[in-house]
Amino acid sequence: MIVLKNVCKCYETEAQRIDALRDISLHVKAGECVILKGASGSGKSTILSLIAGLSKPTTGDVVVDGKRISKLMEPFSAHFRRENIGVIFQRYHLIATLSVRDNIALPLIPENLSAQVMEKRVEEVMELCAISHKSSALCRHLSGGEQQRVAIARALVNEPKIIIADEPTANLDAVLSEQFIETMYDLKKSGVTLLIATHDSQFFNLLFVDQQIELKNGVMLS
Amino acid sequence: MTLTPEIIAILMLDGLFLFFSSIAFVLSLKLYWSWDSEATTLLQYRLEKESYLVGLIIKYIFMLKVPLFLFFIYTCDTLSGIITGAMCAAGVVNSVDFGLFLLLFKLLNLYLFGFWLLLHVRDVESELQPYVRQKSLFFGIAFFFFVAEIVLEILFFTSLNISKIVSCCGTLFSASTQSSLSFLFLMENWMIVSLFYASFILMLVGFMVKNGAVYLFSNLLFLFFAIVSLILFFSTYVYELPTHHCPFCLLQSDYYGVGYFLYAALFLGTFYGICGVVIATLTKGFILRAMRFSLFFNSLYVVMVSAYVVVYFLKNGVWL
Repeated sequence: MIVLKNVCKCYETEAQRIDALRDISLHVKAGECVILKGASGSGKSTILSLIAGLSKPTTGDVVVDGKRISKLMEPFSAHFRRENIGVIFQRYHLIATLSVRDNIALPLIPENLSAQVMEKRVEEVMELCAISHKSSALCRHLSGGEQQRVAIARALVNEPKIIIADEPTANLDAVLSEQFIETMYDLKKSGVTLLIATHDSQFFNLLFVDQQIELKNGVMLS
Repeated sequence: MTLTPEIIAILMLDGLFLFFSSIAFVLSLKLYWSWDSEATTLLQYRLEKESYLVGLIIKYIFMLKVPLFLFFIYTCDTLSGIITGAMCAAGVVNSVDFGLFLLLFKLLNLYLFGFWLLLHVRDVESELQPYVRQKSLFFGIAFFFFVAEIVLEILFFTSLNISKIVSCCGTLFSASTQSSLSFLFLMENWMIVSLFYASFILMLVGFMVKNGAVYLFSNLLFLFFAIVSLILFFSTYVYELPTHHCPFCLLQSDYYGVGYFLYAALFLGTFYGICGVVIATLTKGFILRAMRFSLFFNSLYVVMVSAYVVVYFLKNGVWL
């Protein structure tokens, strides 16, 4: 499902060169839940952005669902991402001036679906993420937990095979983190592949986690 | 050397083009030698970014070159006011020995850049960019024509001498004088016009039987006979003067700038008919789409030039 082969990623500026990832190889099967753990700057988010096709490796290959996403030009990787991957960002990246419903519907716009189909999909994911009661509220008026549920709903609305979450509980209290874990468990049961980058210890001993990968300074420790 | 705001603008853009196209040229050579779409090396990922940069540079140059071609004609037209003897752009272009070559290079380069652009479009339509090496090689060759055009253009403007008396278009495009174009007038009008319509009919046949080779060949013929017949025959009906054959005066406001429409239709039609068909054949693309575009613009050209003749005959009851 997801294969990284000898992936290196370095960021270069005139002054310095930062090796964010060094010779990373990993294999994630369809339907697995993988936790990427490590301190800030260890390379967790970089791995996620490579899998999502948001950036390209410096060397090495990234294959997602049989597609060499690291070799795709931006329009193709964007298309692939739209159809196959849902991303939950650490800071959610919601549009503050749009309503909950509109934020969730955004990824469906390029799909050219009819208004009825779009509406039905949005209603379904709002129900799933327990945010229906706020459907008309502007995102800037939501609490942190509610914003996160909108972000999850937006990631799910395209019915992706893979969900990528980057530090999803960094801004949540313990109760809301528990709720998030339950949502992830439900998704895992429905066959979605999950990749979660976190340093939240709540994730480390979960029974539904198939792999835990620890990173330090861009190197895989386990 | 004559410097007007228009000339300064053209020369500055030439410098800019030379700078950017040199970058694209060096990168194209690198792409041609080192591109390996399967590789996941540092070099290949760099080349993928550089391929994007090359595409961006060439598209930028092409987008400016099209209006700049018209601006060049406009500049020559405005210069005719200060160059003794010149009545329109034709006199200015011919005031320098290689003026006509410069014009031909400009046209050729538009076709070459357009060809590259069509190949580029086909290339980026595919996930793995299968034509990067081909388009890099093509630009590597086309670059020399482009540099030749820029050098000629700089020489052209630096060689312009306003105190030199030049021939006007009436003299240049005339059978009675010994100009570089007077050999055209050795041909019979009826023969050229017949060949013009025959090449168009051949094009229609090529389209109907969907034969790319016939269509391409007929477009080459059509381009040649269209220009010659325009000078020898059709232009006289636009001017309503049997002795005036200048292909540049058509661009003037006295004739409602009809030349811009005629040349746009002719060059777009033959561009799709030649470059479009070649690209579609090489890349197994939609050849019919290129043919349809081509036929539309070429037909438009035929209708426009024929209309002038028909309208003149209906109004006056005689041919020129």
